[in-house]
Amino acid sequence: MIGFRANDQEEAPMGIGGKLFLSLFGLVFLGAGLLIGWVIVRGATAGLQTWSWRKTDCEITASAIRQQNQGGNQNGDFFFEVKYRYTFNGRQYSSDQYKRSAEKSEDYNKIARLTERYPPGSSALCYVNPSAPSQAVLVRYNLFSLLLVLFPVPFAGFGAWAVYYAWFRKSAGEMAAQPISDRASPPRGLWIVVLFFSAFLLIGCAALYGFFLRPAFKILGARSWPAVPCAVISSEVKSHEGGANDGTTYSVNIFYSYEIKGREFKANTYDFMGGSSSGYEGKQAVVARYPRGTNAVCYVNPDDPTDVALERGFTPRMWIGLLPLLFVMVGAVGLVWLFHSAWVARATRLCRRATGPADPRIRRLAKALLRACSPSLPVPVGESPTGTGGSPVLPTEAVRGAHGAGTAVAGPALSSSGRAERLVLKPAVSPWTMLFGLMFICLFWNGIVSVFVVQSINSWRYGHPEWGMMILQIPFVVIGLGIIGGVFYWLLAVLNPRPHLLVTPGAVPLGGTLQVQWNFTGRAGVLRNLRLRLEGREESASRGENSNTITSIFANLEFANVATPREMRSGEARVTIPASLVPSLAGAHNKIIWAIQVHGQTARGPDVKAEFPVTVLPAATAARL
Amino acid sequence: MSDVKIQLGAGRTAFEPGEELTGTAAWKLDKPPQSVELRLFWFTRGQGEKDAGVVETVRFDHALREEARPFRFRLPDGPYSFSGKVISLIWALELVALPSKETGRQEITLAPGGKEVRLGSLPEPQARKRLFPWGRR
Repeated sequence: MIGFRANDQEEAPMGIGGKLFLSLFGLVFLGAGLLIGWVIVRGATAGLQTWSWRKTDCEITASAIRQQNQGGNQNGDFFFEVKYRYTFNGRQYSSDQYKRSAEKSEDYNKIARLTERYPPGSSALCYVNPSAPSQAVLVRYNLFSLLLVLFPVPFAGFGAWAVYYAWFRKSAGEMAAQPISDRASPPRGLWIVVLFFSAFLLIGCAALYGFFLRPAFKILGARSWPAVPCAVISSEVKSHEGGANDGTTYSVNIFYSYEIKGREFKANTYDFMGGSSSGYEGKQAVVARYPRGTNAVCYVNPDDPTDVALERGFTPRMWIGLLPLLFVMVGAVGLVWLFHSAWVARATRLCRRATGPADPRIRRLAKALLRACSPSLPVPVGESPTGTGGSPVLPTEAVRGAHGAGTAVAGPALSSSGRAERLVLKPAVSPWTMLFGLMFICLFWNGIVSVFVVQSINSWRYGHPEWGMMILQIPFVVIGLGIIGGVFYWLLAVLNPRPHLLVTPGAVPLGGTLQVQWNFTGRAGVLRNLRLRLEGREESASRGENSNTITSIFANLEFANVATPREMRSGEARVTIPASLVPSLAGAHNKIIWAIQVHGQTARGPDVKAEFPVTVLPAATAARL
Repeated sequence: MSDVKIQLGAGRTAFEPGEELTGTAAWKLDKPPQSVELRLFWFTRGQGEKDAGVVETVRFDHALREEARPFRFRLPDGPYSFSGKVISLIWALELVALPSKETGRQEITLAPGGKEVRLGSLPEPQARKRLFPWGRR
């Protein structure tokens, strides 16, 4: 046995090189955040001025759809062109500004709807700059756009924090001068985790709505739309060039005309999904079905003749719109986990308060709570057995202080009497949890990686292989394949026989003897050998760059090693806890874990491995109970 | 110059679980504090994040700039003071002047026999090496 004292690993003070590097790193983020923020604020300031402009009646003199931009170039966008006149302070003016910037869209129908809303000869309201009445707009700045200002805040904030941390963080000496007992305060920064998962959930919900739910609702609504003959004016696969690292994407661009009540309308909506994606052939096949000059059938919204589509059903591409569901799941699972943890912490506080010595009514409630609480709920042994008897301390102070620290022993609930009571142990992790957890990670990881893999394959198929991108993907693909392998492993593991453990007493004192009964459900015949041992280990979690959990086993007591089918299927054994060791401890980051390890060797497939935590009490607590 | 210190009864620093601990909390500060707290707590040292748990707190209100007050605690059953490979658990009393947070600390040992438990380190149970987890041995 090797033993030595664990000491604090103090961080070495940062050298000047490290400070400069971190400052530079932070300044890049801070600069980028401030620059983006400045651009957004400048645009918003100009836009916000329109809210001080005076509301005035105006008359639309012309409105049309233009395909060229101001330079006369065609890039596939449609522009809204409008002219109107108005009288301000007795003088007549005219303007051609719909809003502060040009209104354009790839979607013809969106611009067509504006021409419907502002037909020539109609009256409208415009907003006139009182200090320069020749300036006017039909639509003021959208106040929701102000939310964009929040976008660069995390970048700038992170950059500022990095610079501050490099130069102004507390030294080890300053930290040492602070009371250590202050560490027992409730953890701060939980709201950051809540914000993180909330952002995942909100972004996921917004993307899910935009990419899947909205098109799906449109599809369902369009089932009752009448079919109308339409003529294909032009038909092509439109290319969208991405940035340096993004490949080219494609979209179906079929321009067609149709008549409603004797009036001609035009549109370029193929389906309700819209947007572009990789994959050329599928789009080419669609375009081939609608050659220029042919007649087709389109479906028109009876309430809005500009709301139209050539394809009103579900298309295979729509399933891509379900990808944001992964973000929704990460956010939702994270928040549920946080709120569940908060609930458990609250229940723990109640349980602990209830076990206090002050009030017999509360003590009765304690016993009821402890029976009702999950076996994994911490029970209080870190507090004074006699409470404040003879102590000048208020009981609530003592209890509150201990709660903030998360001082507790994790493990099965005590019996109401605290004495020999049987307890069915719960495994630390069930194979089903592992399987579903890994499947979730597998879907999340491979779902994202597959988007880039498909893009790379397409680039290769269409003769523009993006080798750099493909090489970059290799480690991500290898990890993804590893996760898939893990899913298959746990898929086999859930088919294994399942161990069930019953211990007497439910919580054993140091120096006491634990009676363990086991039995297996499922295919126990596959077992070739079964070993049970009681393990005591230290476990400490660290955060930061090398976030991990460090463990060290200090006790390993094998108490059963059987190989006959009858003994393996069910049996009983006893194990004595050495009195010279330590009881269970469950701090927020540091734990003393006592657990029964079950290892069943199988003929084929994964072995049966399960851990069942048990509670080991201080000898004095057990004696008192 | 401020001075915040804890003196334990009979100079003892090692205790049995459940035993009574007595002593005197004394302070001499530059200006009168709002209050002074005496905290009985444990904390961890080691390779990972640190934990701490305050078990009892005595608050001395209406504290003078210079004073000494007696105190008495009933120690809890656990956790024990121990020293392992990755975690050490230390019990201590801390006297904190508020709001300046000038602090005096006195470490104690709380374990059976008044001796810190030393935890050894055993090797991980030997795992059978197999290329594939489901292959025959």
